[in-house]
Amino acid sequence: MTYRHTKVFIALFLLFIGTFLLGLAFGGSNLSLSSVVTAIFQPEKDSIASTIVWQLRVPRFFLGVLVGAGLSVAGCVFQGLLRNPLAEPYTLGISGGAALGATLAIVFGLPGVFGRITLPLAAFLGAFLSLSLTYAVAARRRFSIPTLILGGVILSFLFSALVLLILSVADTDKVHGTIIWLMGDLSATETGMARVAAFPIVSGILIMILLAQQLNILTLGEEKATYLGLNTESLRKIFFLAASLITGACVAVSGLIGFVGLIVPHFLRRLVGPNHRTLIPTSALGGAIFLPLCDTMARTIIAPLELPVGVITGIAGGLVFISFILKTKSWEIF
Amino acid sequence: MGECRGGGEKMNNSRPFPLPLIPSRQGRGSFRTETNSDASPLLKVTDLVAGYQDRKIIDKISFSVLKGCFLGIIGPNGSGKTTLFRVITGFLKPWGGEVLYQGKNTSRIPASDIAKEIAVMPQGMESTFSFTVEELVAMGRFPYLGHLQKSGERDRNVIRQVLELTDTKDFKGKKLFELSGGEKQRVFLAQALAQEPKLLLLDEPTAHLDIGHQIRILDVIKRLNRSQGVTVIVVLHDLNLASLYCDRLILLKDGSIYEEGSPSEVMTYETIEAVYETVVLVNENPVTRRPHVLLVSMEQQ
Repeated sequence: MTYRHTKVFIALFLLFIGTFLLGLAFGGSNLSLSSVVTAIFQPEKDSIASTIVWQLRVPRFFLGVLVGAGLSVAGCVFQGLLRNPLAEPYTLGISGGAALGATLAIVFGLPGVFGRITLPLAAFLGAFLSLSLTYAVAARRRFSIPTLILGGVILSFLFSALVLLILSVADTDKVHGTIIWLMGDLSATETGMARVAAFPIVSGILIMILLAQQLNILTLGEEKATYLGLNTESLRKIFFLAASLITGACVAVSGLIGFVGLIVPHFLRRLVGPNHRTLIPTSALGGAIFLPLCDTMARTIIAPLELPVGVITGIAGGLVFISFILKTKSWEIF
Repeated sequence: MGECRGGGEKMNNSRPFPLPLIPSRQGRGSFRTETNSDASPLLKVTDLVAGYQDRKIIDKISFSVLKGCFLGIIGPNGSGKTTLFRVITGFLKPWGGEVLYQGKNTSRIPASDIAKEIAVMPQGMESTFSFTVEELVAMGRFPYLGHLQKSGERDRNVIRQVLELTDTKDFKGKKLFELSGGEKQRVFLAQALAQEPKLLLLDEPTAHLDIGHQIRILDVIKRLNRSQGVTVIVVLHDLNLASLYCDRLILLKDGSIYEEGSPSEVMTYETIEAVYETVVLVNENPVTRRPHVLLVSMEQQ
């Protein structure tokens, strides 16, 4: 780790603390910074403020941290693994599969039968199924990266068409809930669910950090990686499995939040370089800042009403990203 | 077959690659045999058959390579050079036959052990990501580093030496896309050399390079071959470069060995005309006394 990397790490950490305080202060009712600090350290002094902070905002903030870090790392790994700047859970059809799974569950009234676990579970299964399908098609003969990306894109179009088809024939009251979920939202999840999702997300990120140098070698191409002694096939499977576990869990607790896995790794690659040993941890940290920050905005802009956070990440992220690409020479994008 | 006639020079100091400054690290790799005499071939290929899907590309190829040899594989487009190369390196599974390294079937040696003995530079290496030259070369040390192990003093020494050897140390901090084609090629050569190989395999290392860079790349490889006894197998397109640098040549035609021997044995006008189906003249390079192929256009025939 160089001096530059250390500086970036410290800057990100300070940003993280700042985002944390902002996230606790802003929302439906705004709290002053001093009452936030009081609520954290002396919760008995101001019971309303401490209830808002501890019961609502802290769990929601950490859900944002979890999902933001997970989506960023998954995007970062997909981009490295597929050597493609546009690879991301969204573009690879994983999120589309999750959307289809969840929509089917809502429309068929499965939550009434299986309870609150239904939606996350259906989303998770949908995500997993779609990636397995894409992977199987791409690995039919010798594993082909273009086939995988193209297959993912096609599949995600197919899934969104199916989602629209289902929504156009379903009951109106069911449609509204589904649409909110599809836009990506951190508000609906219970703390218990977030705890369950934390396990695959955190362990997935740890696996990626451990295998960072292997991922660096894989970016040299399948052939050269083999000559350096890597078992490329099993390694690729491990990465895919871990990345889809992370994505599935993120989508399950938060719906479809796009762009995070694209923007955060690209932005940080410019700051710390493409070496995954530093890029993966910084991406995790970057995502843990970006998503809660967007969520705070989503809660404040039209308060007391809330916007789905997916709308904010989409707009903010898209604008940042376009200006960023326009300033970058094409060969420097990675 | 299997003899390695050097152009008058006899290989006598066959020090393994670990460069003079670095004491050899013993006991690494379970199959390393120090008793291997120069008489037994380093690499032996028997009855190799291989191809892609249902198309057979190479058929019943056998040859062996002695330690310290500089072997060139030549042949027209589609004759099976790269396929043969990929079978030797283990990237492509053969349909039949076997590849023996120091008498052991390469498919039974763990990939991480092979990577400490054999380094490969495939055709058209590129990096999608903007790694620095030094980071790329350091990846060549991967076979020697355990899980999460940080690179040590010895790794840094090897990296420094291969950067010097390939004349790339002046731009070690630069990113790959900032370099010219010839410089990039030398970086990937340095990456392969960082593996401290005993056998170096290269697939068209001089493709798309101007004559100055072609010579510079092959000179580095030749120097390693002569001074450190690194055995070299190189696929070359350019017949005159092959003649200039190789001790022995294998000429492929339609997936089989058409001719094998020293450059002057293989590069006769009859052979070249028969294999490449074009009219050529073969002269002697006045300096190196090696055969030199001259082309004749259709109009002038």
